[in-house]
Amino acid sequence: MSSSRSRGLSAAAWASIIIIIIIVVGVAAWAATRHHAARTTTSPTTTTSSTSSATSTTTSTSTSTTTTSSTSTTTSTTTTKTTTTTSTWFAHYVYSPPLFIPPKNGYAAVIETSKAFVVVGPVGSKIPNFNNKGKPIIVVKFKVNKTATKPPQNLTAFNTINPAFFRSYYADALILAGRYEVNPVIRSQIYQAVYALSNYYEPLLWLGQYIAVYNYWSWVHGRYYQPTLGERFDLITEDPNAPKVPLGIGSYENNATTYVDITFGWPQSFDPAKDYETFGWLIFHNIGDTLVTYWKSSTTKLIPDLAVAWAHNKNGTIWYFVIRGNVKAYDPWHNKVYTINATDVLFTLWRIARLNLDPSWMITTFINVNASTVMTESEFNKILSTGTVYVDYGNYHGKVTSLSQLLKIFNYSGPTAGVVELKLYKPYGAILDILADPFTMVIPMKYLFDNVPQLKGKYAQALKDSDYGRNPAAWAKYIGTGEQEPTHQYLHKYPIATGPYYIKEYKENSYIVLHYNPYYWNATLWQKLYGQKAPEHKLVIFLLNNDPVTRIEILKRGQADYGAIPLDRLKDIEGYQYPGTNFKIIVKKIGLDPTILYVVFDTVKPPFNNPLVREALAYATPYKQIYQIVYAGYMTYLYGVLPAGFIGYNNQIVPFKYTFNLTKAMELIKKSGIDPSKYTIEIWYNTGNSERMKIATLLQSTWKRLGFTVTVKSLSWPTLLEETLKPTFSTWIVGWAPDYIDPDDYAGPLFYGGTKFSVLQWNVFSSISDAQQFLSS
Amino acid sequence: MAELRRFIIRRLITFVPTLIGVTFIVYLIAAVVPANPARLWAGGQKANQQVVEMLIKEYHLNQPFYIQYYYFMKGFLENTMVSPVTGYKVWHEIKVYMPVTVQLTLISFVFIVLIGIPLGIISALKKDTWIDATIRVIALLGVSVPIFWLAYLLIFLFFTKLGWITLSGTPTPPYSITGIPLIDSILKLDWRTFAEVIKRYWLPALVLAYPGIGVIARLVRNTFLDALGSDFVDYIDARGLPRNQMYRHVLKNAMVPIVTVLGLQFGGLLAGAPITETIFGLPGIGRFMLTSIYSSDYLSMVGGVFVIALIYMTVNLIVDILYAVIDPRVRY
Amino acid sequence: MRCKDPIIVVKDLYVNFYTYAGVVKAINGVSFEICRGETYCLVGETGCGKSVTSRALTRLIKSPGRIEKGEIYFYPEPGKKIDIMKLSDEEIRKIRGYDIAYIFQDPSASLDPLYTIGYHVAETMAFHGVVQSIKEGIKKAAQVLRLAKMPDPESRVRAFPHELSGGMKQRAVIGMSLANRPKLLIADEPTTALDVTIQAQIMNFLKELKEKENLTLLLITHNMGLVAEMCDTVAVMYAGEIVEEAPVEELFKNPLHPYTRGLMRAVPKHVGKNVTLESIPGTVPNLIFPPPGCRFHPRCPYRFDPCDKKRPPLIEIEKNHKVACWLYAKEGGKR
Repeated sequence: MSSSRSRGLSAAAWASIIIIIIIVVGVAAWAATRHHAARTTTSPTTTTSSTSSATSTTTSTSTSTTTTSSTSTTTSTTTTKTTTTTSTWFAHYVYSPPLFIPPKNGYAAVIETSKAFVVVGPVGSKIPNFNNKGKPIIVVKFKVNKTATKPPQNLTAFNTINPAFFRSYYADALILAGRYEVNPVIRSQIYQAVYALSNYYEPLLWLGQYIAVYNYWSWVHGRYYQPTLGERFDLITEDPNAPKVPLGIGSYENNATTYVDITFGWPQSFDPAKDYETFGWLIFHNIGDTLVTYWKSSTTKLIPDLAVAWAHNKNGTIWYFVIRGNVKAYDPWHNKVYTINATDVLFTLWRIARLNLDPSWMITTFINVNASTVMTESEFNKILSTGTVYVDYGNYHGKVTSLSQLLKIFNYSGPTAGVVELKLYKPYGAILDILADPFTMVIPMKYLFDNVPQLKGKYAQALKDSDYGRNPAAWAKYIGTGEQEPTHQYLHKYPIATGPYYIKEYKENSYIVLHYNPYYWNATLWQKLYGQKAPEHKLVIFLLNNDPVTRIEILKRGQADYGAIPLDRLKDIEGYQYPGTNFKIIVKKIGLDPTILYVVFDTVKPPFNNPLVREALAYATPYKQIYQIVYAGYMTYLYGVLPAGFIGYNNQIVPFKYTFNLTKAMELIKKSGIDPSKYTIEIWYNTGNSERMKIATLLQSTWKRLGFTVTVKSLSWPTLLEETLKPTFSTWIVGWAPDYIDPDDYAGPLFYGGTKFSVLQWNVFSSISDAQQFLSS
Repeated sequence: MAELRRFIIRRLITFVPTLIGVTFIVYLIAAVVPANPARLWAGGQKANQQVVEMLIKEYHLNQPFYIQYYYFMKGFLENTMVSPVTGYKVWHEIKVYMPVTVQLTLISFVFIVLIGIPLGIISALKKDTWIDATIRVIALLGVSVPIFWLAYLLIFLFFTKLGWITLSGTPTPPYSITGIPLIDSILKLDWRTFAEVIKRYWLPALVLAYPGIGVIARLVRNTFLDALGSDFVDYIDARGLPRNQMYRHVLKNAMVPIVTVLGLQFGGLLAGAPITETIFGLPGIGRFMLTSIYSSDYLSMVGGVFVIALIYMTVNLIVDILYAVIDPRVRY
Repeated sequence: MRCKDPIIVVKDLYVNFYTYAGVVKAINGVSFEICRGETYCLVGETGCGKSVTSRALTRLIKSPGRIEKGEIYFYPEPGKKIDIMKLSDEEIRKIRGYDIAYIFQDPSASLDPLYTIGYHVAETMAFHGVVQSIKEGIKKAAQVLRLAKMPDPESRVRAFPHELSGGMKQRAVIGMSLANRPKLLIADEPTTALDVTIQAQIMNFLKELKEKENLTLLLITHNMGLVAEMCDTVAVMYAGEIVEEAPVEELFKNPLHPYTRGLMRAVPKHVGKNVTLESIPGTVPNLIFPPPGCRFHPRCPYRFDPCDKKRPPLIEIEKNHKVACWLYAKEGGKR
């Protein structure tokens, strides 16, 4: 030790004190700007929905289709529908209050909907007395096939039964009827009844529906919200004075003609046949074309895309799509162009089914791809001339007998490239919605055969083997299944584009650059919108960063036009001004996101098998608190299985508008006759999801006031999925996002109880006596 | 030197059982302990039973874990294994992400050596003065400040306020010799690309290096002072050798423990990379391992573990060889 | 002046150590001369200050030690006088290892285990300009080691310290210290750590050097047998002071100072049964609070009145026989 030790000690002490003060100040400042983790994978980033009203149905039709029935009473579910008469549908009706007669043994249930009354009951049941006020009556009658219907605990959650393992024959009959009904108006009324029943039974506790909120710089114009497709970037523009900010990637900069998104994650795959998430679908919507699509924010009106016209046979088991001509696919990796025809379209759908990857079920469940085929325009014309083909488009609902007539109905006069015929296993009202999903974007067959090493040089042979697409099953020799399949591996790395953009370059988990597609078939759209042969946004760049704080900084710096920001940080960036300009960050609620959140009850076990208990728990749920605390106010009430924006959503007819009411909850517990102290409720959520953890804690604090012992447990996501496949849990919190815009995508997995029917028929009547007659026979 | 060669060969042979052991244990924990991941891979709630079954078959998930492990290693080493979550071959991903982590780690390491060692020496030479005290407090901060806090602070300064750095993309020149742009640009004397790489990596590397700088500075201070107090230093003075020559002796003696710790630090850099990579938007192995864990993609994760274990063992081997080069008393 | 041709002259040297416990007055006014070509020995118990004195000659005292005052003169050649105390750090550095070289007790402590013997030798030569570079030095190292009677010097050049035995290491150190042909070699207990046979070899070697090269040697030891063999002049130190200085035969024949007498008696002369070893009662004093007057008086069987009051001066009683004791001072005599 040296003699200078005393001097050194005080120096060290001073230095330590000063630096500790700095640390404390820094920590305090840090705590003031704490961040939450971003929402996890099961919930989308920032998407908005269109402001569609609660009961938007398509048009009020004057005549409904008349289709002949095909009755068969076999042990498998049969769906039959006979419409004999049509009557005028009243556009609006005032409820005072809406009629809701719940199911009861021996009786049919009666549910008043916006345009009708839906009566559902087993064959031979009685219709309780009511006044149908002149509104039409849709009657659904059923007979349960007791042998074919397995007990709920033997079925699989989400797959063959709803996750609550709840079964109501009445609800199941309605769900299947809605699934197989093709007439959109009748469908909508049936789904409204489904919605009302899902509220009445409350097998799942409907917590809420997300409010879609956008954040973007005020120099961005024209953003809109589409829940499953995302936005088309060529329809969005920017103020020409938008600042130019270099990105640090090559020479790219964010400016008025470059649209930059700062977000997290990475698309699951560039091969649409594998991709089953919103990020990838957003990209496919911009680089690809599907048979049909939605224009901008619409979720109800399908318009032509690859298909310029479509029609179907009487009972909706065969669909025909006339393919647009002159659609080019651009391969940026070899700078080559391919022309699309009907064979490519069928090949695309066939391949999705064949590869059997994540989204394939949407094709394989409904479409028999191997029985589907392609044909020339003249072959199609011959079929049309037989008078067995029908059209539902715009105001036209009826037979179509020639191709020219069909094209006239669709107002198309350009070239065509063949016709695709899809055979469905059963009629399915939502089949067009599925075909609007971006994962069905067309891939030219030759592109794969030109570039995938195992297929090089075999294109001509493959075409011949399949008779140019008439016999798609022959392609099985060339295309395999699974993750390691060569075309999947190839497309996974080298995507191709027919749409307004193509993928110019990307770096995994770092960035993706889209460039506008000079070969886009609809360049005239740009001409119309912008007066030039290119869109305003010539480049679209995705910047990826998994850290929310960094994303906020990137957005604030102007390197991005919009971004994925956690909900509780939105208020921090709202109104932030770009230095030296008048541009600010806008945070705007842009509509309702169909993604929903709910608590699953195990309804096989007590106490959840008692509907009053479920009701009580629903009244004991602090909804507003959850919306405010957990979602920063970006969530709203949900009363049933369908979200706002979907056919069937009608909050005016739900029997219980659940709000937080502990008194009512306790009354219901008393009425239910159970002793809550005998039961332990365990609330599960997936580890790492801080939002669900907070919800679980909030639920615990209120539910236990009813007298239950409530515990909260977190499980890893795969474990959670595994443990809830069977009714061996108590309750768990989970959400649901749409695969396609159709109520069956919700009602099926989340409400259907697995009932198999030996008889399932429905029809529309104008008088109760007719209805009863139908029901009793 | 023949002994050294034998030593190296012996050590290289131990790589194999170590790699197997490490990957096996990680595989065990990742694959066997949690639930069957096939459902998750197939889409979670929306998983279709067919797809789930196909995945179970393809990845042998219904077989005992050692069989699974065997197929995994086989597929991994033959480069046929495709991750069901990312869709890429595991080696492909490692190949893409490895250069980022290597560059980050190398530049971090250089910072640790170039800043930590001189700081330690200065601290030792100026023992008990205010300079020494300040350096020691800075070093203490280095090991106590959480990386992400420091990262956010510096991002706020250098990105938000000054705009000196970028948080997106990774500079890649059109040519490729080793696949690592930092090294390639030096080999090709492409100073423009080199500058771009430095510009992108210097801040994340500094953040990552900061705890290591603290550790090394303190260690160098202590070992240097230790060595300074060695007996032979006295005799160096007695022989009238100049100061610099004395420091040369001292430094070489101090290097032995420093080299060990530097080797450990390197491993620590690899481990600390995930957070730094995530915050700074660098698509490296660390970040890749993090996301694989979240998405239950244990195939990718074990692949990453394999590579990191390999790197770590190699670094340790180099450290041990350096040992023998520096200190002749070390025998193998 | 005892020496006609002195090589070292020390006058009134005081060295203090500033420790936590207090100030240790380690060297308390020491004066002596070393004549050119002679072997001058400093003897005494451990802790008496012999090493400190020898280090002070080239200002090799490190904190917490400090040369308080005193004069040290070095005569590299007859007539050329260098005031050690007035030299700059760089100038004294040049002297160390070149004009004045050291050998310490433990050769392991003198060598850096990470460098070869050859490197050690080379650097000692290179940094004093004896060779141009270390590379050259290594080439010459074998020669140097041979001179130090190292067996197989070529392979020893490439060897590391841990590969040599104690005796070899000491030879290497001796070689290093002699490589620059110093005028004065200071050997601080050079063989204490070695076994007797090696000890004999090394001492013979040093004797050879003295005879052949006229090497001036300052030998520090507590081994009276070695003193008898090697030394020309002996200075006995106790508690930081020289208590007696005399030519070697005179000292053995006629030890004057009570302490010296005690030392002589402590050395076993015969090997036989029933021989009790005599020891000097008491212990070495605490030098932070040294005893007043003569520092030996607490242990001195002859102590009397003035001993605890005033320090006895070192005065020459007989020809070149100096002693610092009140027993003799009264009797007069030259200083």
